Amino acid sequence: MVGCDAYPDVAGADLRGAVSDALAMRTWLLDSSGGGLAMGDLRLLVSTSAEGAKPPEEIVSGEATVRDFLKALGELDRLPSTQDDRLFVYFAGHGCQTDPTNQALSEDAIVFSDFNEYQPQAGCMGISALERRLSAMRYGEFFVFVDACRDFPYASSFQLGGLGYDKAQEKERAYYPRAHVFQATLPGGVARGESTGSGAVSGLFTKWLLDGLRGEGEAKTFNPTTATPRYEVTWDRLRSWVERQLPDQLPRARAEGNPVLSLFDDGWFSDIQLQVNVSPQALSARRDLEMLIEFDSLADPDAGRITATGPTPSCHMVPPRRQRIFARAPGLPWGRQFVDAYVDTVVELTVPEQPSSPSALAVPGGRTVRGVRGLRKAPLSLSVEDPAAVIELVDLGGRRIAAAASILDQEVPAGSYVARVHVPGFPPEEHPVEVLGDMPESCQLRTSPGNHPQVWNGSGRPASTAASAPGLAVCLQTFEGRPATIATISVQHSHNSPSWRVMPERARVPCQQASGGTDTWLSEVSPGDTLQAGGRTVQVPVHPMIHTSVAAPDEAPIVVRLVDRHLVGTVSALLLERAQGFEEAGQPEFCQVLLDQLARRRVESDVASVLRGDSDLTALQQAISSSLARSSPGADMLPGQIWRVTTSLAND
Amino acid sequence: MALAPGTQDRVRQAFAELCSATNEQEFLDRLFRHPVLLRGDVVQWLAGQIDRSTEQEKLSRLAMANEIRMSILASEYPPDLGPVEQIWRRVDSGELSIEQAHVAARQLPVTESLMGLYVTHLFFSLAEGDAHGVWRRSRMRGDILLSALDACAHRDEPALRRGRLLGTTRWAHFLLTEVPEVRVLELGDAAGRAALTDAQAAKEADEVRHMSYELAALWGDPYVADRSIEAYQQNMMAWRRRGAEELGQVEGLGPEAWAMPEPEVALRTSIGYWRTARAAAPNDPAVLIGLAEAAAFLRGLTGGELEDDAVSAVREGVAITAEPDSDAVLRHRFLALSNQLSRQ
Repeated sequence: MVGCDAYPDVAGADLRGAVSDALAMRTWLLDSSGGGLAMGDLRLLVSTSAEGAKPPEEIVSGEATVRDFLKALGELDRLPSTQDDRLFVYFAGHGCQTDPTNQALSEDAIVFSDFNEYQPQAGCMGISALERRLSAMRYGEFFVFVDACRDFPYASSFQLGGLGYDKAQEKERAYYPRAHVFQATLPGGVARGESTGSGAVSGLFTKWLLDGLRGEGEAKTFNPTTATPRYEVTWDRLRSWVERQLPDQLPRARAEGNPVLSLFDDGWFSDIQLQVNVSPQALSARRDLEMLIEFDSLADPDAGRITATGPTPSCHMVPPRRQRIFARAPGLPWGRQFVDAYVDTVVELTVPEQPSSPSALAVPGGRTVRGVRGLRKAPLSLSVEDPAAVIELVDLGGRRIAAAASILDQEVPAGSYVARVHVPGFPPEEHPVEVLGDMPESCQLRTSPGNHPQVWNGSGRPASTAASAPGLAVCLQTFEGRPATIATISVQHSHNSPSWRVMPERARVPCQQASGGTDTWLSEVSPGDTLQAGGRTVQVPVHPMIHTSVAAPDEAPIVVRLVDRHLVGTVSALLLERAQGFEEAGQPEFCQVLLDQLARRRVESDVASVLRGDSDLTALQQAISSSLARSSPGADMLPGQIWRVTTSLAND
Repeated sequence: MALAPGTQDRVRQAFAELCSATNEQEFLDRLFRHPVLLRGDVVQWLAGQIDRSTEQEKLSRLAMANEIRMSILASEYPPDLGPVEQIWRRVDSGELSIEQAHVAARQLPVTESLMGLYVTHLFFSLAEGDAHGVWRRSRMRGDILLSALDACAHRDEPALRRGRLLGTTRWAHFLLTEVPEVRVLELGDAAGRAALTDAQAAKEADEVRHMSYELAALWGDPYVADRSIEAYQQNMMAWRRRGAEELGQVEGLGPEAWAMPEPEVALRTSIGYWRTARAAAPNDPAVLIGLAEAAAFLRGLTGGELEDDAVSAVREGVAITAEPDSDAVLRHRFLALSNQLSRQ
């Protein structure tokens, strides 16, 4: 736990809430109903300022300096640890970028109390260097939470210095730690705080993070599939929760997996109010309207079934979890609505007005046992308009049942499920799915525009990426009269970002899709050509017959994608790009889903062959394979990239 | 640890019920129906919720509840009112399956009510009467109670821990006198030893004596209670046959489920615990007679001489119980043993 309020060598940089934020996090970690950590397994490092909190000396292990931090890491590394152990790293203080003029190429760093402008790398630690160090430890998982602005008052570019010595890597390890990193804001953003009334300022990221870890609102989910039903706060739920609370601050998270961070017994949380509104109005006012609300109550199935009559609106107190709501007018079929309700919720339910088949008149639902209503199976069909989105079906315990691209057809046992729509770079959208077991279920999943990249315009062709999305520069234009074997590169960047150009200078063609404050152009390139922007030289993979797209959004790392030239502008290109996105995001299983989809479409793709890890690669495929970042790691590579993207200071 | 939001809701509702009681009996019934109101931290939390200037009546009701909390003994606890008993009843009536009951018992609305006094009372209620008629029900109920206690394993409350350990030992002793079952012996022994270790670490002689006594009874009584040396083999066969019937035929378990230690091993273990109890309470006649009788029974099985400390226990017991106002039954037992010794 690091709380750094004091920056003695940088005028005006002192903070007054970082130490108190670290103390709040420490309290949660040591709480038996929270992190459940033993005191001896925690190190608290603080540097206090005149206005910030001053914790008692006996709980402080050292100063918030790089030296003490590395010392504490070393101590924790020496504790006996196994794959079942977790390491939490929390940092509250300032953050900065190594290249403030070119955010797409910059690295994130946290700034310690010993920072000084003459030797900036000495008081900084790169997030990626920290991750590498933590990956060399023997914990099964590590979690890095950074509540830091990335607008430190220091505006020069510098190179990070690494973390002292390199920890010796064991040659063969049974496991590698899974990384989970959650940062308060995106590069250049401000991590805001709120006054606590005592003059201190508490970080909003930490506040909502802790609220989420304590299971507030929709941060939790009810898991009825375990021996003891319980509430869980998983990484994905926590991430979505914090992101929803801080829409303007744009917190950033990435993870390898979706571990459970907090557990709560059934009964821990207060009941919520469920208001049922029925339409059409002619039926909603009827007193003989029948309503049925069902929820999982495994200990006492009878308690999980509420019957009521009209008129509506009708309010009921229910435990926070999946609710199955049914309503009908006598003699008419049941209308139904399913909702995962974790806060007071209003449900709009449309009731059929016309008679239907006799089976539709039967009383719906039924008692549940461990989230599954029985062994009956029924066909389930889920679809989403986006052809390159991955639909993942999980049970209420988060166990994956199936995953598919765009359309998922699966026979499943009657029960409760969640459908997640995945697009790389965005949190998954979740939809409650119920299979009642008496009929096939089919559902068109609608994605909300605000939470989903608009890369699919529904017209049957991929649209250009919106400027705000860290998506791809998909360019439909080709050079007329030129052979298809030449390598091309398209670059999309904001008008606000430094000017990008190919070196040596070549002719370039603007793409017609450029809009919304971005500039996209297409250029022929040769191996060895470089891109230059803002005093940096960048080398990206370039291969004949392969189109390399480079997106340099204002507020996110550079995105490089490779697509076979003959696929550019097709749905297959989108599948290929997304597959790379999933691989980059640490979700190789979804990458595989999209590659399988390409194979089903009988698409010939050199890039796909490389991503699939095919044997007997052609010369071109071998060349592409050598461009994978994992093929030849190097110090000058930008972190977090699937392809080998290197950067250095430009000579001119 | 702060009260969970759901617990706060239920406590508010339970306390509102308590405040609306119109007579003392109703007050007590409602109080013991919600044992969560007898938790110290809950009383403290409720006190903080009451406006002292305008809610005097509530304050006095809370004070009454607190007084009962501070003074009641496990043996005085009224039966059949609390949430655990409610689950037991619903199993008896067929409303809940045993599996559902175990799940129900682990839920916070039940586990939040568990505290030392209530748990001790529950276990003691399972170890009452003639085991012959209630063995299966007591065993099923105790297992459900243990499920509930497992869900509170993270709670660091000495009274709750002691209630569980002492209660499990006593309940296991009760079950074993009727049916031999290795799992139950292991449960009782582990609980008793943990409680004994706690007592020894705290240097509490009374508690060391108490838990050693419980452990000695756990290991000894199932082999000696209501048995004579003359008909010992028939008695032992009948006891083991009950294991084969109840665990083998009814539950389909293998013979290892009732393969209890041999009597000599069990009695030596029991004698070890009697010695620990004697060291903690040298002049306690109940301990002296336990040690002496167990040693005498072992000698009856194996032959040979009675060990010196058993002989001294008999002599001291005779002297201690010689007073006219001492326990006449104990005095008679010591004299009977003394006569046996003098005949040898």
